[in-house]
Amino acid sequence: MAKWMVVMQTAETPSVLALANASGVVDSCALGALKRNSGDLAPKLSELLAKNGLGVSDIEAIAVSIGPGGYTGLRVGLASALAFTLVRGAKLIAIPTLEGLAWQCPSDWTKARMVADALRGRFFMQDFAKGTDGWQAVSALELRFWNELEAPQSSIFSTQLAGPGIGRASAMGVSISPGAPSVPDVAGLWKAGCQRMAQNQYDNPAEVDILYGQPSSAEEQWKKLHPGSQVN
Amino acid sequence: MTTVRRFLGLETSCDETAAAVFTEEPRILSSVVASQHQVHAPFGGVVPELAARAHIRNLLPVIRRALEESNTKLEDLSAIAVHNRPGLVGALVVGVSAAKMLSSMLKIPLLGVSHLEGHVYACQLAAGKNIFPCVALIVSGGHTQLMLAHAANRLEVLGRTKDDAAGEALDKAAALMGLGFPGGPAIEREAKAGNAKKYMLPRPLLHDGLDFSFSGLKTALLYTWRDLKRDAGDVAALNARPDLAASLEAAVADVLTTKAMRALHQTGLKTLAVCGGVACNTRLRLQLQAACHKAGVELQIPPPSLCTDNAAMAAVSLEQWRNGEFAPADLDALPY
Repeated sequence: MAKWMVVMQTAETPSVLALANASGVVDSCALGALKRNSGDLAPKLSELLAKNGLGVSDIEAIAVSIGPGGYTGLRVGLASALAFTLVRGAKLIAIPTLEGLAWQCPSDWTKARMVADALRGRFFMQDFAKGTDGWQAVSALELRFWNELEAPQSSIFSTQLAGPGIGRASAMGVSISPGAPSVPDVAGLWKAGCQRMAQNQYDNPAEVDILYGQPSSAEEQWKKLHPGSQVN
Repeated sequence: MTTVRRFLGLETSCDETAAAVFTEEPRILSSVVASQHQVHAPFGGVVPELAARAHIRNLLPVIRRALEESNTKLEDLSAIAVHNRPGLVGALVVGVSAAKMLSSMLKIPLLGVSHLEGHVYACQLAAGKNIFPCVALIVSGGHTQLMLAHAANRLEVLGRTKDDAAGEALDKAAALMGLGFPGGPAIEREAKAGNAKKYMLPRPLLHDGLDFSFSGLKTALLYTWRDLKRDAGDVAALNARPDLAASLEAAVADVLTTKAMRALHQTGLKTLAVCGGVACNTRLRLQLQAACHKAGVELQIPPPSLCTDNAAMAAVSLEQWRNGEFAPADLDALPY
């Protein structure tokens, strides 16, 4: 019997919901804006399952993007995924947005530097490399300043760039390789999810958290006022 | 054999992540609350972004515990009730998203609940009898309102704060005097050793209508504290802090009691329901008891666990459930 996976990409617009099995993404649908109404994610998932003749108990795992990305979309996605795991014990696969994007890179790429806007004049950067087990992070998620790209000899350019931030990088004169993925999609999450399933690597729903990648502005202001102190 | 129907309530409107299982009677089978006080303490008040982040971390453990403590399986549930208004939108959306998914996947109704109606209903839950119609005083960190409560889900505003909520003023005053967060309990602890008549702080709008205003009281405290430190020094100010805390507590309690009694007089009702986190305050409870006793009014104040934010009060949705008034599958989280 096929192992079914629900895939949720809610880190970036457009948010997409999909059903997949070992052969690939079988069906998908775009979601409305995930704003304060938390959108139509739950009813759309019901529809998708019914349309494909599946029930909740047919789902082996749920793969969800956990960030970085838009905060509301990430919260809607993860809160929904956590609730889903409660219903019939589906396993949770929490996939960092940039890792999912790495799996979308062209097949001849062996390494990629992912960039994504972090707002407040900053961007996220993380390196990935393709090995026998597929794409893996080979550096920690870093927070950098966009104005670093203005330096002509910046070492940031030494690796092929991809990710949601390449549009802005390109506008700043950085050369982007053809085929560099910029919009996270469910296919990337599905590939990353399959790799985790194959290795039996699941996340504990009671411990998983969103990968914000940076402190909230309240924490940043507090740290400025209380240098050397730790916020809880 | 008749099976008693069970419901799961969820609350994430502000800084408490809560889940509860209750029956249609209603009987509270479990009520679990994960407080975020430690998260917000350094800031002296609730930080909306941090509240939303903490709800994600707390959500599943809290739901699981509520189910376990009530020996309930998800399949036993007849509906999911979620506080979807009013509150911090980033916080509400966590509970609303989870509730929608549970409702959709379990194929059971979803009930959207007003947090304020829930607070008022908590008074009836604690009383174990019908308390309506009554005057309801909702007093917390986010709200200070007097309502004519025809029923728990039919509230008519009689008066509300024009600026700070009472609990917000207490939080800010506590932060100012270095007493920590949450301010209400911190002020109460400090006030125990204080003389409430030492500082005559203002009672804003005391003789005027049913609306409230607490920002002037907060400012008066700020000036008193500043002058104390300037004129007598830091040590003397710290020594005077219990008196100042007690005087502040007395001013807040005087205003709330006077307005509540005025609302009772104007409406002719004989029951006062008091709810919200500030209703935990001992001085306020005693003052209201004395005033209600004198006026021949029945006072309903729940125990502290039902005064502060919780999910058991989502049982207010049982009437919606009985009437088939289910929420749409794309239920909104509303700030107001």
